[in-house]
This record gives sequence, structure tokens and C-alpha cells, in this order.
Amino acid sequence: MSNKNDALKRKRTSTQKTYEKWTDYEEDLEESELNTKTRDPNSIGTNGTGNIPQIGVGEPKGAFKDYSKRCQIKDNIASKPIWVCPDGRIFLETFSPIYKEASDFLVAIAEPVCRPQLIHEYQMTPFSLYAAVSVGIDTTHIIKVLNTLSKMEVPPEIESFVRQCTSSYGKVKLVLQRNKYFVESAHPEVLEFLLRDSVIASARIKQTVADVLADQQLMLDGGPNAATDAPPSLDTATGFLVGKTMAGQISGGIQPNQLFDKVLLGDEEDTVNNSDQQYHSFEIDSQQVEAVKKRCIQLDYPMLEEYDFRNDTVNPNLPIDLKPTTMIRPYQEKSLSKMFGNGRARSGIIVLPCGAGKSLSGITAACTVKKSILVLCTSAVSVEQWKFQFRLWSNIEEKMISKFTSDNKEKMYSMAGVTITTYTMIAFGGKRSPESLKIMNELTTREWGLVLLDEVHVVPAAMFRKVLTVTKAHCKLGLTATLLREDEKIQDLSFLIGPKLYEANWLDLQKAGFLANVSCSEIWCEMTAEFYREYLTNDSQGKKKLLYTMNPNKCRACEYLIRYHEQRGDKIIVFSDNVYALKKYAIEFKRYFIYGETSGQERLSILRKFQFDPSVRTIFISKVGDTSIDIPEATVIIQISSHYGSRRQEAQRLGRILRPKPKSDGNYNAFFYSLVSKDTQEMYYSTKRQQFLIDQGYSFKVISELPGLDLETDLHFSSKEAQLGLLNEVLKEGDDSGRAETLDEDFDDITTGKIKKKKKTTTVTRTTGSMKTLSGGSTNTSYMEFQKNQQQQQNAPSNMYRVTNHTKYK
Amino acid sequence: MKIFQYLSSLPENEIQDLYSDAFTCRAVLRSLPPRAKQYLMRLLVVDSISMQSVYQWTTQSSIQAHKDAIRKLLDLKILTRVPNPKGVVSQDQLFLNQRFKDNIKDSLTDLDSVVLKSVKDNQSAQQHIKPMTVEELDKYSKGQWEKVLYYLSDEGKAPPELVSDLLLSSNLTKKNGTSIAITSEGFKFMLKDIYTQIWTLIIVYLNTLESRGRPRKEALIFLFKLSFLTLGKSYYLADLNPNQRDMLFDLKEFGLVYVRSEKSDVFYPTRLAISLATGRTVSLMNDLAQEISTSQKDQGYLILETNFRIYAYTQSSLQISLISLFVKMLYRLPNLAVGILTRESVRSALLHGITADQIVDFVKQNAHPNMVISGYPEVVFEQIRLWESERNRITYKKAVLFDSFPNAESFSKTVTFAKDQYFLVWFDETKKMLVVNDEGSEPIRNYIKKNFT
Repeated sequence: MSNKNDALKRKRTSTQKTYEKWTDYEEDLEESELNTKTRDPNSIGTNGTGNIPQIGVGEPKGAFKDYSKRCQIKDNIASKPIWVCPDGRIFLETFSPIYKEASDFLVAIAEPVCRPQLIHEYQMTPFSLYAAVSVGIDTTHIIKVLNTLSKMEVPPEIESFVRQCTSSYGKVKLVLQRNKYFVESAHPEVLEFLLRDSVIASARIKQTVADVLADQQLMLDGGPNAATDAPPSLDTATGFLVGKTMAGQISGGIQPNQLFDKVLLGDEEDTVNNSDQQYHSFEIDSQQVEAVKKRCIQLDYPMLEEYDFRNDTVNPNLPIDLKPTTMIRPYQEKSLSKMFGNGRARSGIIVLPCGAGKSLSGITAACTVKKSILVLCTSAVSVEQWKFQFRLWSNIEEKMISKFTSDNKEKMYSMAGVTITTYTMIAFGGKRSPESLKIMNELTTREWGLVLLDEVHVVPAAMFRKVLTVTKAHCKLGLTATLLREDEKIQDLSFLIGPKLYEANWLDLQKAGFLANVSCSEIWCEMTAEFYREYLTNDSQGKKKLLYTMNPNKCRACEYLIRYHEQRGDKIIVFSDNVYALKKYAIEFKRYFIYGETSGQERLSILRKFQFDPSVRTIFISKVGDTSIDIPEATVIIQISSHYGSRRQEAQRLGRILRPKPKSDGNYNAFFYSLVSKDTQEMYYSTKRQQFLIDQGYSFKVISELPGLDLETDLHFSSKEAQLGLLNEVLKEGDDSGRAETLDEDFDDITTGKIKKKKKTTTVTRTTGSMKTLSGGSTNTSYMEFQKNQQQQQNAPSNMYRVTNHTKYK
Repeated sequence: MKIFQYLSSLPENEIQDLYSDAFTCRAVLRSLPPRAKQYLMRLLVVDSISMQSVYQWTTQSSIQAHKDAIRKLLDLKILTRVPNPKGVVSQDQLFLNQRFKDNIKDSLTDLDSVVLKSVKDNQSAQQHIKPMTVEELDKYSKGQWEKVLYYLSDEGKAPPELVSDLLLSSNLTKKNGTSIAITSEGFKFMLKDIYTQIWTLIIVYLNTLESRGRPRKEALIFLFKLSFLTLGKSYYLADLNPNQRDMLFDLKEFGLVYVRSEKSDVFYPTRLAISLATGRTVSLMNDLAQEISTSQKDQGYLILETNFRIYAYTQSSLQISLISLFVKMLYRLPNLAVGILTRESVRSALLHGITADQIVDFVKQNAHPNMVISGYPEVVFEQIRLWESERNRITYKKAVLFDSFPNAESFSKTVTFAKDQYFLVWFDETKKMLVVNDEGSEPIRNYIKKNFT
């Protein structure tokens, strides 16, 4: 007994080790430089027992790899579009006649690294292959197609890597039935193997014969339709439940949505045929689902999560359909076909650029599943926008949609309905009002057909974990624009939600006119002599940051651009992370501004003015506007201060103007300017920030001098006196003014949340920003774990606290 | 321009000898910048002129062009500056080289002189041979020059002795045991434009002539003469002296002239020869370079993406080492090499003396047909140029600082004097400090000595 306990303890400490590596994922991203795309081999199998297959191990990151002798070139290569390297890197020619087919295939089996004009790069990883299997592409198919497409013989190490990664995938499934989680497999020996693992064994709930009989009775009571599957019986030898799926029933059910049938048929050869198989299963504790999932990945049997919604008669149907006028774009259809590939709904993540219609994809998925839908957003504003979108695209009745935010606690529709809420509302750990408690209870007891997770990339892992454990969902669909790759956090998402199902190519969408054609420029503003002297001599980082943000030449360039674009009739958003600069600029130029302290009422009224009042052409917004605020009118973005080297922020901000613009005459119809003070740290960060967009095929034009700027003599801060006055003001400011804004007023905004209340009760050491954080682009939070005491260490996985970097602790 | 640097570097007596040849003088004259030409023409009819008078020819706004022109003429030893015996700089006298002056004067009065008589089409000695067209000549010279480059890149056949010797002695290749390998100088050479390439080799050629006991002067004069011939016309070999005939066959290797065979009695100058020594060179050479690069379009192997990645469709180690001069290489596959342009990789190329424009031109000249269609990534080119300009933000010039002026009057007078003489660089009224350029150091010192001590 004590032996067993020791083993258990060891296991848990080792799990703990993995957790300790969870820092906010963007920091990792910043570390993963352009050329070091190779995955950290230890990222999953940290405890040594993990046996995730690896390729290219032992080859130093970013080093020159010469495969010219190792690889064999085939004959007749002109018609073949790809090269497959022994380390899993794939190069694809976009000018090949079969480019479309090849890229569809590659995006399913590998991670896109960069996709500019002519040559795309992909990287095969265990996770990308896992995703491939889960959408129904099997081992032999992968190898066969790679061989057909490749100009070189597929290296043997790749072949064995694919086999290793995919052969065991797809054998185990996680099924939610009547509020209970079951691990299911057609191969009982696999289940037995899994149960040898202590984590999984401890999560198992043993079923007695009596339980099973009761369940059977329940099933039979459900009416004639309920028994589409023969009720499972208990195999007394193994303790597994044994059930049988009969052929034809899966695809033979009602086809509530005709939309995907053609896609389904087209995909048929790819899909795994699950029918007519005996399956074995055991129940696990719902609290331990995540731990079990993680263990399964480490044991190389990742669990697939599928939801056979068409045969689900337990949960009531939701009357929802797309309006006949709603048009779905080809890439939205393609992404959803991955989700509903075999007639069931798979959990996973869909990556579409901002403005490409993520919400519509989500709503279409909802219309396909037709069960209770839970939508999780990042802010209250976003909740409003989701509701609007549901009403816009689908025929759902208003009474069936309920909002659940700190201001709006609407009762849920008793039958199936749509509930829209925020991550923080669900994850909230403190005392709730009776009203809110009632809704929460309903929320946690309901079995959700589909949970839509908006902007999954910004949600901290801890909050996710909380949200996903309290909500019972058959199927989870994550939506994001910038799922930055090659870091552990994305893999966390991968087992919390599911594999990435689809990732759209920005450049292709732009060419097809689904995205605006944006001209990106980086404008270099010379520091004035006086500011630069201060910049060089001042020791305070905050002051330095303020100095380069408030550089008078930057102010002038900003005003010049505003003037130019206002004359053209554009709508302009000026972004500044720095609140001091934001206010100073906005007040000086007499324009509206929105930042953290602006009340929700005022925000909406300013946004409305911006939308409808032709005299309001420019607004200043702090980072509250980075995500989820939909401002389709904006055509110009001017960025005067930003969060260090955050690639995500850059992409999100660009996303604000990506919505296709009406006057699309092939030329640029949207403009993105980043103002950078020359010869300061800003230059370095700016290069880092652009990397993601550059990899998507965008190019930043450097403008070292704005033509005509000197001719405009009436700009602010043109005279030496005004500049010196500004310098004096800046120097008088406290160091904190240089920092980015700390958001803590919006309860629904996940960048704040009341979780930090918890902190006060714990002993917290202040985490000062390391170089990693400085160069890294986390929002303003980082995550770490620590133990209160030994006893809690035993309950490791749930013992996580969030530390906010910028808030003041007592 | 290479030719001027070369001429300026020649010893005084040799250049004097060169100027005894009328055609050399004419060639030099017509390759001068317009302002220098103009000054030279003014000086043709006077014996000498003071610096002061010369300064009056220009306005303050074009002072730099003026200085350049005078500097060039002095460097080429067409002008001589004789210091004023009393040390008054403005009274320094400028003299025009006597031989040069005489030759130009003669040329102005004798418009009929020609270098060589061309073969009239209907008088061709070998009637049955079809005369060469300009297009054929262009194609020929291009082919010859590409051969030289291929010798260099060890991919062509064994080069003729002359070329291989030249490449060796110009340090573009080096002997590696028995085989010959390209040097880093050679790589840089490959990136340069064709005009610079030809001149580099011609100059080495002229220097080796000397060591072989053949007069360099004669060769130079012959080169200048060639530039007065007409493209598309043929000339009799018999009109040349034996030395010139030898040289003609040497120049054939570079594609400067065309001779059908050893037995031919006529030769054709190509565009390369005619444009080599003239002021119009650059534009003509550009045409040619353009043509050469268009002809290479179908063999272009480079794809440069907007994310700074570069893909080279090549199996040649030489081509890969060429791009790795300015690219950080990541992958090499049997028929593809992948790399990325980084600030560091480009800077290391710049440090080796390769310029941003050379890199850009090289990428353009070797562009893969698909990159040509989709358009060059101008943003990347722009960035390469910015990386270059990053290194050239400060220029150093010698200057002299004067301070401790006894009183305000002496200071302001000296400043005025320095200003008038274009020596002034910087001054500060309150600190009574004055900085003048190197040229002004001596005159200012004299001025102060004379007036205030």
C-alpha cells in the first residue's frame, strides 16, 4: 500500500514539474525565434515516461542542415510541389498546378510555419499528426500522399515518425453520456494498458452490475428512439462495459443540415469507419478528465472526442437554422467540414484571421449541432456582439438567447437554448449573488451540445481548466485568429479543447477578397536631440519608454497621418498602450479616447459616434480595443505605443481593419501604420512584433521620412519651445506613466478578473518583469504556481494561482 | 569610374606620355563630367589662371560640383596647381597640361582625322562572308564574357591561358594544389556589375603586359582608340601594328572585339569595347547588363520572399556559397537550398565590401521566373539598403580647430576670411572657436600670423 502511495506521489510531483513550466505562453513564443521552430523535445514527456515520438532530435536549433547527400531526388519532379525533409520540415511551391490540393493536405497534417507568396513552409509535429488522425486521415493515407507530392523520396525517418505518431491515435475515445464521462475503445487490451497507469486507474469509477442495470433501465425508459445503441452490458472479467454500434446507424440518422452533405460525401474516403464495432468502456471521474487526457497523450494514446449529436435523443433539440440569406464562404465551409467530417462533431480549434468571419463559423457549427449552445467570450462588449451575430445570421428566437454577465443575468431558456457569457463569469471563485448562483447551477448541470470558445489564445490555462471542468460539454470548438505555434501553451489548448482542425491562409483570403488589402508601414521618427539625450542618460526604463513614446517627431507624424487620412474620408483608430501618451495625444489633437477607466456606457456612445457621425473620424483607444471590439468602419490604424514585442497584439490590431472594404478596386483599401522612434528599443521590438504577420505574407514598408511632413508647419510640437515644454512635462511624470495600462475595472474582461483577490490570502512574491517578459508579449499577466503547504501539493493539478504582473500587492 | 582612378594612379611621366596621343586626350575629354569639360575648354586659350578667378565661375550653391571638377582635373594631371610664392592661396595659379592642350586644340581644328578606316560594306575583302550585325556582335560579346565568369566559377571548361592567368594574378582565384579555386575576392567580383568586372580584369591585364615587357602605354592608347570606332563596322587588321594585333586577340577573349578566325583580315569592335572608355559607358553598359540578365531569366534560380527567406533552385555548391555571402543558410536539399537574410548576415557581407546594391542586383539578375512574375519583394531590398545606410551615418573628415583668439575682432575677421575661402566648417561666437577643413589649415594659420601678431 505504501509502495503504491509512493508511486502515486512520484507521479504527481512529476506532473507538477510540467505545470511549473507553464508561464504565459506568449513569453515562450518570444523565445521561439524565427529559426528555432523545432519543438522542445521535452515539452510533453517531461517525466521521462512520455514517449512522444520525435524527429530531428539532436540537431541544433536553427543550424544549417545539409540533406543534399541523404535525400534522393525523384524523376519528373516538375509536377510535384513539395520537399519533405528528414526533420519534418516541408517546403511547398505555390506555383504548382496542384498547389490547392497540396496545401489543403499539408494544413491538415502539419503546422504552417510561414506562407508568403511563392514558397510555403510547414512543420510536421506529433500534434499536427494527431490532429490529422482526429479529422480522419489515417497513417497509410498520409504516407501515400506525401510520397505522391514530394520531389524527393520521403525519408525513412519521416515514414517511421508518421507511423509512430498515428498508429496508436484514434483508438481511444472520450465519450460524454448522461453527464458521465467514459473512456471508450474497440480494443479492450488498450483499455487494460491504460488502466495500468496509476493516474488513469485512480480516476476510474468502478461500475457494479447494479449500476449498469439501472442505466440500462434508464436507457430503455427513454423511449424507442433512445435505444439506437444496444444497451451496454458489463463484462465481469474486465469490469468494462461492452456495447455495440450497429452499422449504418451513424450516418443513417436524420440529416438536419443539408449544408455539409456534399462535403461529407467528398470526405468519405478519409473518414475512419467506426461502425459495426464492439466497444468497451469504463467510466472516469469528471474532475479528473483533464489529467486522464494528458496522461493518455503521454502514453501515446491521445483520446478523440466525438459527439454523435444526430443520435443524441437525451438532450432536447434547439430550433436553430441559418437564415436563407446567410452565405457561407468556401473556407468557412472547409473548416466546418473538418469538424463534422464523419457525421459526428469533433472538438477542436479553428483558426481564421480577424475579420474573416469567425463568429459565423461558430454559429454555423451551432446550427449543425442543434443542441444547447454555450458561448464563452472575453468581455461583456463581446457578449453583446455575439448575441447580435446570432440574431443576424440565424433564425433563433430572441427568448432562447440568454446573456450572463456581471450586468446582465438573464434566466436561461428552460429547454435547449443559447447562453452567452464570459470566461471570468464562469471561472469566478468568490461568493456569488443568489441570482448568479442560480444561473451557475443551471449552467453546470446542463449538458451542452456545443461550447464555443472565443479568442482561445488569450485565455489563461488555469481559467480554461476551471471553465471546462465545471461545464459539461459534448463538443468544444475554439475560435482564434492568432494561434501562435511551437510553444507549450498551444499544446495545452490541444488537450484542453482538441486539435487544431483548420488554419486559413491569410494571403489566399486576401487575394480572394475576403480580407481587406492592407498596406503596412513602419514609420521611423527621428528622436529630437533633447529627447534623445534624456533617453540615453535616464536610468529608468519607464521614463525611457515614455520618452520614445512622446517623441515630438512621433506626435507630428501621427498628426500628419490623421490629417491626411481624415481628408481622404477614412476612419482612423489610434492605438496606444501607454495611457499617458493616449490622453496627451488625444487631448492635444481634440479627439475622443477610450481606455480602461472609460465606462461601458461612454465606450458604446463613443463607438457609436465613430460609426455614424461623419465628423468623428478619429478615435484613440488603449489596449482595451485590441480584441473583440468590432469596428467595421475603421480603415486606418496608427499605432503609437505597443506592448513590447507582442506578435499577437500586432496581428490582433491589424485584424481591426481586415474586414473587407467596399471600395475594393484592387488597390490598398486599409492602412496600418506603426510609428517607431528611431535608434531606441522600440525598433527592436517592432521587428519582433511584425514577425507573425510577415510569416503570413504581409510586408512592412519602412518609411524613414514622411514626404511632405516638413511642409506642414502648423502641426503640434513643431517649434523648439513646444518640444522642450513637452520634454519638461514628460520628465515630471512618474516612472509608472511609462508603463502600459493596468486593466482592472471590467469584471468580464479576462485580462483582470477577481481571481487576484485570491492572491491576497496567499503569500506571493512579486514577479518582476524578466527580460523574457520585457521582450515577450504577454498581455499584462503571467502565470505561476506555488504551493501553500505540503498537503496541497498532493492535490497538485488544481493548485494554481494567477499572478498579475502589474497590480500592486500588499 | 574605374578608368579615372586608374589613370590618376599612373606615374607622372607615363601619363604625360599618354597625353601625347591625340585620341587619348579626346577620350579623356569626352568622359569628363560636363563642368570639368567646360572649365577645360575655357582654359584652352589662356596660359594660366588664378584660383580666385576660377572660384568666380561658380555660385555658392554648386560649390561641391565645382570642387569635384577641379579635383578631377588635378588628379588626372590635366591641371597643375602652382602655389603662390607669397603663400596667398587665392593667388595660386592653375596651368593646363601643355600636351593635352595642344592635342585638343588640334582636334578642334582637324575634324577629319579618324583612328582607322572602316571597311566599306561593298569593299569587303571577303565578299562571300556576310557582315556581322549589331545583334550578332552583342550576342557574341555577351557569350564571351559569360565564359569568363564560368571559368571563374569552375563550372566552365578549362579557360584559355590568358584568362586563367589574369584571374590568378587578380587574386580572384588561387591555386589549390593542382586545382584552381575561387577566392572570397572572386565571390565579391561575381556580385559586381559587368562594367566593374571588365575594368578590374583590364587593369590587371595592363599591369601584366608591363611585366611581360610590353608597353602598357601603347595598350592603353589602343583601348582609347577602339572607343572611337563605330559599332557594326569592320576594320582591317592590316592597319594595326604587330603589338596592337597581339592585343586584339587578347581582347577577343573578353568579348571586346570580334575576329572570325586567325586568318581573317578584318575585325569588329563590340559594344563592350566602344563603351568601355567613354562617358556614355554607364548607360550602354546598363543596356547590356539588362540584356544579359533578361537572357538569364529562364535560368534564374533565386526566390526571395517578403519574410526574408531565400530559396535557391540549384545543385551547384558554388552558387550556394555565393548566396551564403549574404544569407544565413538553413537547409540544403539535393536541388534546393534555403536560407534567410538577417541583419547579421547582410552586415557581414557589407563588412566584406559588398554593397547593398550589389546584393539587390545579384538577386534581381538571378531571379527565378516565378519571382519575376509575382514581383520583387521591394520591402526586403529596402531593408538591405537601410542596413547599409545604418553603417554610414557618420563620415569622418580631417579638420583643424582654432581657439584662444585674443579678441572678438580677430575672431570675426578670421571667420569671414575662412568663409570667403570655403574653408569654414563650424564656429562658435561665444567660445570663440573655429573649425576649418584640412585644406584651410595652412592658409588660416598664415592669415592669423600675418594680421594679428
